[in-house]
Amino acid sequence: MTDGQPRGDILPEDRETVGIPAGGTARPAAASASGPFAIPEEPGGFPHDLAVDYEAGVELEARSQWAYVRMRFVRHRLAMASTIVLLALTAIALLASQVAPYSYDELDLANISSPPTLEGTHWFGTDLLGRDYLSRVIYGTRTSLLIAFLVALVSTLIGTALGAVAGYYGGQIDNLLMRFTDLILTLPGLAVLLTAAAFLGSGDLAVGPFTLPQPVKVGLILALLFWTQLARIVRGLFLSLREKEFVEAAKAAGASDMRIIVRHILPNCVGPIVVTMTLVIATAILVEAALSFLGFGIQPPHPALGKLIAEGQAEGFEVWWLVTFPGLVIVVICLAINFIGDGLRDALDPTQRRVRA
Amino acid sequence: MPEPVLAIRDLTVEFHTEDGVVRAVTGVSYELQPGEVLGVVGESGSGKSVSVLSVLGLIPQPPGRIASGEALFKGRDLLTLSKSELRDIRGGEMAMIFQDPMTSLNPVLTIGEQISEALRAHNPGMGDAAASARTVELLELVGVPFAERRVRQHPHEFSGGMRQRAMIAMAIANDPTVLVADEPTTALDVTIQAQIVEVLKAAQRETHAAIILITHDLGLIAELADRVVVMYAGRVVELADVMTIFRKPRHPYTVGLMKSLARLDSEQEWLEPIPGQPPSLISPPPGCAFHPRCAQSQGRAVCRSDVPVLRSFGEGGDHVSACHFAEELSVAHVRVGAGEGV
Repeated sequence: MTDGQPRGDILPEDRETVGIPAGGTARPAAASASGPFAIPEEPGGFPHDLAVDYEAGVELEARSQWAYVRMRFVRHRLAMASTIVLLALTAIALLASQVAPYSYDELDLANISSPPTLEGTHWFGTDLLGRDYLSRVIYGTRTSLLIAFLVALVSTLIGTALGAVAGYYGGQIDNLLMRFTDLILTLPGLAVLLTAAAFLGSGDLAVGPFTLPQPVKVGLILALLFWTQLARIVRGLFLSLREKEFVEAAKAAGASDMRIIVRHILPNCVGPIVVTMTLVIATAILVEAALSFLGFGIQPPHPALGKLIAEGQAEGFEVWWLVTFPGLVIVVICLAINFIGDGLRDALDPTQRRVRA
Repeated sequence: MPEPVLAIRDLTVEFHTEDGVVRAVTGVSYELQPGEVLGVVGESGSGKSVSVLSVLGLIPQPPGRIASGEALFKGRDLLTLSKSELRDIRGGEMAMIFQDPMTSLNPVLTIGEQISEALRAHNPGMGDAAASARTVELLELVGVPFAERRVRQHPHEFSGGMRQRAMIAMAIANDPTVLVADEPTTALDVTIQAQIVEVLKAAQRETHAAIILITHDLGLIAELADRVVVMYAGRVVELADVMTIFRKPRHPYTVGLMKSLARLDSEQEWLEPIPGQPPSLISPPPGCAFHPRCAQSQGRAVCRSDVPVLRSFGEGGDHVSACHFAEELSVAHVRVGAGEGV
């Protein structure tokens, strides 16, 4: 907040006296426009953007909650910069077929293993088969982002739902759901992933009438393992929030369990959920990389960022660009998502007054 | 006498804890007449809140358990209703105002959202525009200035008094016939308390609701209540209209409460507190639960052996008291006048 700006969010305490004057005989309706204590909406003579003295009781601007969230987020510079970077990367990934100079599997046999150069057409160089590496990184980013967002979405849905039910109802339901969560949590993740990958095969997966493309398949498998952390966090939040008086007040107002969970408690958990979700996105990209690195996950010739690193790593340091560029993209995506999560956490807290630089 | 809107009969509520069974409420009966303000007074832990909350199904079960009793509301026993039937009544025909407006409002929803929530929960067909218009109307009624703009603000942008007004607006949203106010002014400054009292009066004028006022503030009782129930250790010890309670209390505990009240109209160097501590509800004293602290008992055996029953005293309507020696409490004994003004 800049000094001297009107602050619609702060009202002087002495407004207390506006509704019912001391003596307490007037009807509270005095606050309505017609009453004797009505205050003119527009004090004459003052430009509207000046901080009019509070005694006049004029509140200049009441922003909506989303306006506040937006304002706090926009002022979080790192988060804003990260959003722009991520949006740009997403746009490039979505428009891969238009943006990429070549197809991901197009061979240029005249330029095999050529280093990065700004003079030729292969800015990121080419790999051992002469494929344009910039194009492969762009297509790889598309695959990796698709998996990451899918994992984030599905695991957040599962984790939030299970955590909310367990935390709100407690008792036997809580016990059952949390032991199940513990069970999933104790599974050695990588081993399960490798088994699942081997069992489900490497191609597209046919489920009834639907065919799941390979990245979607990998994403779903990851999501089914990644919801545990969020489930525990959400359960913990619900355990403490369900004892709050505003929940009792909501019950006293006749709200149903479902309504209390979704409308009253869940909005109080948005911060931690969003932050955990961003962490899951970052982890998903890294685990997908690890999975591809081990030869499961995405199958050639389709690129994914982890896959690209895995292939490049086998070739040694002479072809350093094969590891460096996809690695850099992973780092940039993960950092950007973490910063966005940071910014969102601050922005979504309605009691947060401090605006971070 | 007209039909009572709410009749609680022989209500007993227990809590099962690790240390044993806590009898928070034992055999409590009282009736709420239409349009009246019934004060329920007592120390912390006297069962005054639990007696009402259990009727509304708002005590956690377990550990809580309603061991016996009935609560007749419009011909239906609230204690036998299903969860969803009770939910329809809560916030609709029976609404509640909570003690602490700081924590009873949801910090992430705007005031307007919370009030229209309450409206919509009981009026399924209500549209957006109608709900928000009614919300503004309600806030104006309880004296929140600039209601059209205030509805878009969050609770932390409201002062304590304004929040309590918003809570009251939420409670009267659906024109309740019974309004339960659980220590509505305890968390507020004295100056704000006086304003909230006015708002409560205005709310009652508007809705013609009968109010159950749970408090330990005798000033508030004097200001608002028509009849008073005094509770001690989970039992009703005295019940009378407000004048009689202040002028001719018939129970030594009520007398003790009066004496521990600071007054402006008498030269009084020290207050006279009631000696001792409230009894354990797991193993209450035998006989009259008040006897270890009682000035009247003077060690008489009957106080330690027999639980006193409520006896009628006739003067000033239905005055009942549960003391073996209620007759000994003469007016001269009690150096307190009627409680006019706060």
